[in-house]
Amino acid sequence: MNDNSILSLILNASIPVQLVMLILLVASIFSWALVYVKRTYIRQSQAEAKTFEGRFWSGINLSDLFAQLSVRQEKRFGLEAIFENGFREFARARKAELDNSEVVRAAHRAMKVSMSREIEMLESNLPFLATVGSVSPYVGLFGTVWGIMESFRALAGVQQATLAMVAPGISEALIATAMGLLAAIPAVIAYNKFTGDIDTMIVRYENFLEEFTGILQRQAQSPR
Amino acid sequence: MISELRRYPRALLLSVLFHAGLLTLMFVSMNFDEPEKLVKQGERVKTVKAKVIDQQQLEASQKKKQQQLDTEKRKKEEARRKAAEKKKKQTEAKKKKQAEVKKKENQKKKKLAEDKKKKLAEAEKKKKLEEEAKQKKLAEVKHQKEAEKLKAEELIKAEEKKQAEEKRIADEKKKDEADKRRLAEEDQKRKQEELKSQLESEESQRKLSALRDAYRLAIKQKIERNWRRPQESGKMPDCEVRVLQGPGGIILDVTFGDCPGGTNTYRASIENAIYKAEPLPRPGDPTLFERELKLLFNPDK
Repeated sequence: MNDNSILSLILNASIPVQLVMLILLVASIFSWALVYVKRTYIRQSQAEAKTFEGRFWSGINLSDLFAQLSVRQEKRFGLEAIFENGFREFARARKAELDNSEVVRAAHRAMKVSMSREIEMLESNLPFLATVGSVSPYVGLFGTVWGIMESFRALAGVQQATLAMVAPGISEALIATAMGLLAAIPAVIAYNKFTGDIDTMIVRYENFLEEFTGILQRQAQSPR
Repeated sequence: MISELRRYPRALLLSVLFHAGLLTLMFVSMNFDEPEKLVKQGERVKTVKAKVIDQQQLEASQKKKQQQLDTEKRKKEEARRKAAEKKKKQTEAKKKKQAEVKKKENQKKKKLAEDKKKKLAEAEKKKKLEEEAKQKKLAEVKHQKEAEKLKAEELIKAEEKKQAEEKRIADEKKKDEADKRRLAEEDQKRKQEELKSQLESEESQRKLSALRDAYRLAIKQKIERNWRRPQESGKMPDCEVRVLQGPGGIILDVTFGDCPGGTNTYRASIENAIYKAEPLPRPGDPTLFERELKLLFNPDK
């Protein structure tokens, strides 16, 4: 192996620089894993919202839909969870012979709560990606500055300085910056994409919530 | 974060593998592309330069000494070469003479041997010719017999071939006819099936469209039944109404489209009628459910 391959450069680097590189590698690994997890979750909830909206607007009776959902054993999420919580609260409030407006308000509140829970699920851990995206270039830069400092300090004791004496140290130090950028770029891209996707999901949930509230209001006015 | 990663253990594994692949790829490509010497050789370069300065002085004196030594060596070598050449010429002359004597002896021996061989060969040739003549006669007789047999066989074979070809032609004709019949039958079947499927799809479409018409009619009739003629007898033109309905026939919104010259009370009466008709009737087939209905309301008919 050549004595200036990247591997040997990393192995010969000073300990603080090596530590910085290790941190960046771990951050990159975790951010990629998180990207995978978030992507699968967001896609799942998009698909779920699509199928549920299709079923909801197919003209099925609401209590039939509710019965179908509550029979299923799996954990519900997304629009299904919002619908189920809202309708359950609506039925409960109606049984308690509350005022019509009270019934609708109770259902609306329950749906708001479950919607904010869904949004929380969607947005969880996104700050980690944002942090990796914004901080890792600085961490890499710190490693580079440290490495360049060291190589200049070594230069101080020499009478005739040549470029060949400084160059390996600097190239060693610059690897840290490269790693920082390599960790940051995918994280920033993923963060921006996910926030956009989640925003459209939130709008979708809110629209559904309002429409469903309107339907419940109508139903509350019809005789029990 | 860790809990979420634990739910998808594949994610972390994939990520680690991805990074390992990336790093190895980077190392490999960098090792191939790197030119060899760039770094950490500043000291060596210096020492080489110092030697060069010393050598220029040293080399001048060394060159003179070497030139003297070279001239002496050359003279000695020339003397040696001349002595060696003389020896070589003497030995070569001796060898040539010996070789000539040997050649003459060999030529004599060869002539004697060749004469003997020629006599023997002529005797053998005569014998061979006689034997060959006998064999040829025998072979000719055999050939004639065989040729007669072959002619007879060929005649028989030719007749057989003719019969076989006639059979083949007949068979092929039969096969072609059978194939044609089959193809015709298959075509007929296909056409029949296509017709059937067309008829079926048309029927189902007809049923669906009939159901859709019935659905729309039911909605319209229910709304019209609930309509009360407003007391104020103004203009009552045809009125276009868009109704947004939710699951279970619940009315979400009513908007008026083209309604020229309709008074507010008239419009209110229509809206009332629509809300009274709630829940709207359900379609016979759930796929026919229409979220947005466009109704033409005409009280005079």
